[in-house]
Amino acid sequence: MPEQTIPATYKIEEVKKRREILELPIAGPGDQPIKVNIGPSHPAMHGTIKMIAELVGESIVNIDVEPGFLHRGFEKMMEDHNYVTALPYTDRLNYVSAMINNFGYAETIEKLFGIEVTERCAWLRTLFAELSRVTDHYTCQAAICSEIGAMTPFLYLMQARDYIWEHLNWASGARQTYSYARIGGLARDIPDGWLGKLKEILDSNIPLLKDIHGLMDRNRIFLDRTQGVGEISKEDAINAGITGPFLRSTGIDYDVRKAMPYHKYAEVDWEVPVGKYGDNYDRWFVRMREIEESLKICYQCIERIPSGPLNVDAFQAHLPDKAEVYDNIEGLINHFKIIIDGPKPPKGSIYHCVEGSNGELGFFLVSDGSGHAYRLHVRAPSLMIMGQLDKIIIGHQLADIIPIFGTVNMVGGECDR
Amino acid sequence: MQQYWLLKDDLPDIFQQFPAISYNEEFGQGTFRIAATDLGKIFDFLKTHKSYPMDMLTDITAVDYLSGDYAERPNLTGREEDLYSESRYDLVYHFYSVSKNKRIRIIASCGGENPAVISSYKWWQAAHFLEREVWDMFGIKFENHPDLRRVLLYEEFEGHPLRKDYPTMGEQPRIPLRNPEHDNA
Repeated sequence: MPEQTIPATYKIEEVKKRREILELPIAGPGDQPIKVNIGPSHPAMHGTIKMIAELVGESIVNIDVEPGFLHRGFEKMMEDHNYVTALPYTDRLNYVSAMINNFGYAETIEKLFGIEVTERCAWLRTLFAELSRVTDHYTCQAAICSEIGAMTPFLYLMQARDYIWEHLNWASGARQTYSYARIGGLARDIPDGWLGKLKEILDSNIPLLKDIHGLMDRNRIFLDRTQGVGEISKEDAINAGITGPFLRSTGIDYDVRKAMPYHKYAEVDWEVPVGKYGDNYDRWFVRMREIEESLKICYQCIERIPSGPLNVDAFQAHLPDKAEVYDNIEGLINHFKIIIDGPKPPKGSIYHCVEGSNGELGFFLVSDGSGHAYRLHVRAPSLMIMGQLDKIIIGHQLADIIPIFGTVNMVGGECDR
Repeated sequence: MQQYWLLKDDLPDIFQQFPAISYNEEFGQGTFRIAATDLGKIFDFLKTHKSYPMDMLTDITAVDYLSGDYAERPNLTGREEDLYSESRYDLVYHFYSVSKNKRIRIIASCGGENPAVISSYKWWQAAHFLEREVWDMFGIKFENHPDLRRVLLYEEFEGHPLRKDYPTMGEQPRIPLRNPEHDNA
């Protein structure tokens, strides 16, 4: 079990006072603000966001956030592909934690059909979703580190992330875009010896987290650039529809895994870490704590994964086993019917949400009874954050954009769809 | 099992205040369908509700019911008349009450040549990008929105791609080089 870590305490008033002394006075009323384009081809903008900032001196007086550079028409494509062939597109929503999107999408359709997945499948999904969350948070934390100039923790975290990704590669056959979920189950069972090796990898993460805390928690440069920067209040965050680690950093303990438990989250022992001030430092710390909680869930899953069937026996929705397809005609027909026409759920509309690594990831699906969605809308947590970002940034200095944008963690694939 | 959605019995006062409301339930999720002119009133009602204050606007999206073969919508028949039908689009609002852990779905229909409804930005700032996205994808205008521009697509884009009459393989004209002054690069 990972140890509980104690946050480095600080007094927000003192930080604010220090910042006031440091900040230069805003230029006089005669000065015209100048416009500066930042991104989209800027590494700190993650390649997908353009910001047009109006500066007076170094202070930002106005900013326009423009997403959409990664727009692929995801929702239009979903209306044109059947439910099975559309699954790989969901990988590309949040490509850093693709499993969570996969499972969220598959579960939405399972709910339409009224399918309950097997015990083994539910436990495996919990494990894979949490591993994905760990890798997503590692990526985010590593990006923050490298953007503010700390290369050592960046390399440490990226190495740890890739151990997990390579391990997921062993199970699913892909390093990043897995397409591992199936409606009613998983693509294939985990290989022999996979869980034992996973435990070794997870064990190596606990000293790593200690190292990261040691490198960053009392680092003066890091503290100056994160504490008291990019604050948001509880009420504003809720009003802006922000969810996930960002909302929890303001002190609201809303987590879909606790509020509307799915998978096996109600049966494992874990807690929701919350911050206090909703600034960069709290967002960093909530993510660090969430990694620990996710590892805790992973250990419990490894202990408790039962043996038994992996996939449900639902011929209307789930692809038959390959042995069935090659050996008898019913299996073959079933296979072709599902691949060509798609599974046909009942009519109706449904909203299902899971806890993505950036917040509540919702799928609103309107089914007209045919093999493809009449309309599938994805409630992307990143888009809500981007909608509020201008209000967080205004009043800060130009250099503060980088850590703020890093800690809010926006993923282009999901924001732009 | 715990119920996470507000159903008919949880909100008796909504039927008193909005007599024209209709209700149906699918997959354990309640849907309240109201007239688009009542939207402003229902935002007030939900935001200041005594037992279930909806403090978070989770999602806004729209569904285009252009094609006449959708069996739930028997009033839609021929493609030409459908184009400006008053009930062509369903606007779907999802709200969440953080304190009570309850969700609600509100649907309002709109349509006509220039579909427009009232913006919910005054009540929830989350509407900022959500309404811009609906405008971008469906061309539904939100009155009193402070900054209604396209959000995911570029300004010169012709048409609204998630409308059912926009072809999946639709092509866009090339746009001339932008004036450098425009973006002040």
